[in-house]
Amino acid sequence: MKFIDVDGATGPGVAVSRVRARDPVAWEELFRTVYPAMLAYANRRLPHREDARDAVSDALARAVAGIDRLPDEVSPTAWLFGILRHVVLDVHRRRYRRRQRPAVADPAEGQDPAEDLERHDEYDLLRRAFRSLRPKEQDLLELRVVAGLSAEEVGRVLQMRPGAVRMAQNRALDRLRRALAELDPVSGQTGERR
Amino acid sequence: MTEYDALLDALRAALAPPPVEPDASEIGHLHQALAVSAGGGGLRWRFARRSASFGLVHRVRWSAAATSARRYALAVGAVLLACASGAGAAAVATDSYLGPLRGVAYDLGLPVSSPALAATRGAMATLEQALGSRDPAEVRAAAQELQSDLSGLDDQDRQQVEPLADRLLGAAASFLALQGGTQAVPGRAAPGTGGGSGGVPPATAPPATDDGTTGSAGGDDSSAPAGAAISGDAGSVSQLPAEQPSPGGDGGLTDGSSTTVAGAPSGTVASSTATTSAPSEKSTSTDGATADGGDG
Repeated sequence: MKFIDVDGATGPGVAVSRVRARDPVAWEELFRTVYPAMLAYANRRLPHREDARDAVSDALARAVAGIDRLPDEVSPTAWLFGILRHVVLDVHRRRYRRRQRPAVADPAEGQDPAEDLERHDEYDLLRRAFRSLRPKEQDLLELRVVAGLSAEEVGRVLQMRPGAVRMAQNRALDRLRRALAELDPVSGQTGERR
Repeated sequence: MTEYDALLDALRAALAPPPVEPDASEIGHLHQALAVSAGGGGLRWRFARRSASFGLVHRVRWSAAATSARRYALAVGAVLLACASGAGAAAVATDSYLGPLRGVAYDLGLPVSSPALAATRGAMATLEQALGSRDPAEVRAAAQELQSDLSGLDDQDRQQVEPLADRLLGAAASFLALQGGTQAVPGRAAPGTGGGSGGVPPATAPPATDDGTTGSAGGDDSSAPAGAAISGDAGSVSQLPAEQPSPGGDGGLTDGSSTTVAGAPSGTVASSTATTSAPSEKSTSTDGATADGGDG
């Protein structure tokens, strides 16, 4: 998922330099790489798929405009997710002012109906348990497992120290396990759904 | 694999995003944003994706809400600035400032008339209206006000209004003389009279007596008694009697000296004035001609 990791041919740092130079090819490659995860992240937090696509596009535009402020130690992926998180929060703030309650959809739903049904059976409990977590815990876990960010990068996005990220991650996983146990006492004991 | 790792793997699988690709419009917008950013325009890439759903109109709007708000504020500010500057420019161009604002504008060096000059012009307009109304009291009051305003002008401002003011004051003096001597303009010259300056320099109308001699009836002519009416033609100078003559004969509110009046009716007025208001002060011209000897 990390853009600098997939550019093995030229070395990890070269892609970032091309991104900084606003190379269209590098940006398009980055966009295609992170797009599914960004869309899934936004889909889980915004009520409509169009909202999520808007948020991803807006985040990308902001990233392009502010690429000169990208810190050296931060990957473009983490940079993009950090911006996307702010965009999503902005949407929620506006919706709160308008008294609109978001109806969060699952990004995995709405694809192939048969596949949806299968996924629903397989991961429904885990996703429901995940949704029962606190928003910040959901953020942290999703940035870790979906965006593939390291603890340090998650800490930058959430403005936490890496150690605090790890501790919060463990606490979130504990809560997730407990939520699973409440939803499905048999399989929730181990947290294994597969 | 720890329990946490197993749970993370399961969660990773459960939350795994579907393999989607950005569509062509999103890729196009990316390149557009890159072009704008590379161009240094600093413009925010605005999302403008179209959809058939009604709700998207609302959803697209939020992405551009901040930009729209800024543009709206800028537009309103520009309109207000234009109105303010336009009004200011119009006020300067038409010299139509109100009193306090005029003073401020004049102090700031804007090309507006001085407050004293504006007041004098206002007094002239008032006198003109009073003459039109043919109300002696109103004419006399307006003439007094105009005289007072004239006395407060500096030389530059006085030169701008002096010809018209003199004509108006002369007409007022003539009118008041016809109405009766007791209502004459204090300290103001009647038509065809000479005398000193009652706030307006006498140079605009060289005094002349009815016999054609040019009267040296300037303000320095102390020999001409105050309150004297000297007949003559339009160029002569006369001194209207004061409404409440002072013991010294100085009925004027200003310096009591006579004032040059240009273009005023001659002779008759002076005679009337002389006979009704100040018969004892039989006027003589500065060159010694009697007032009654005018062509009227």
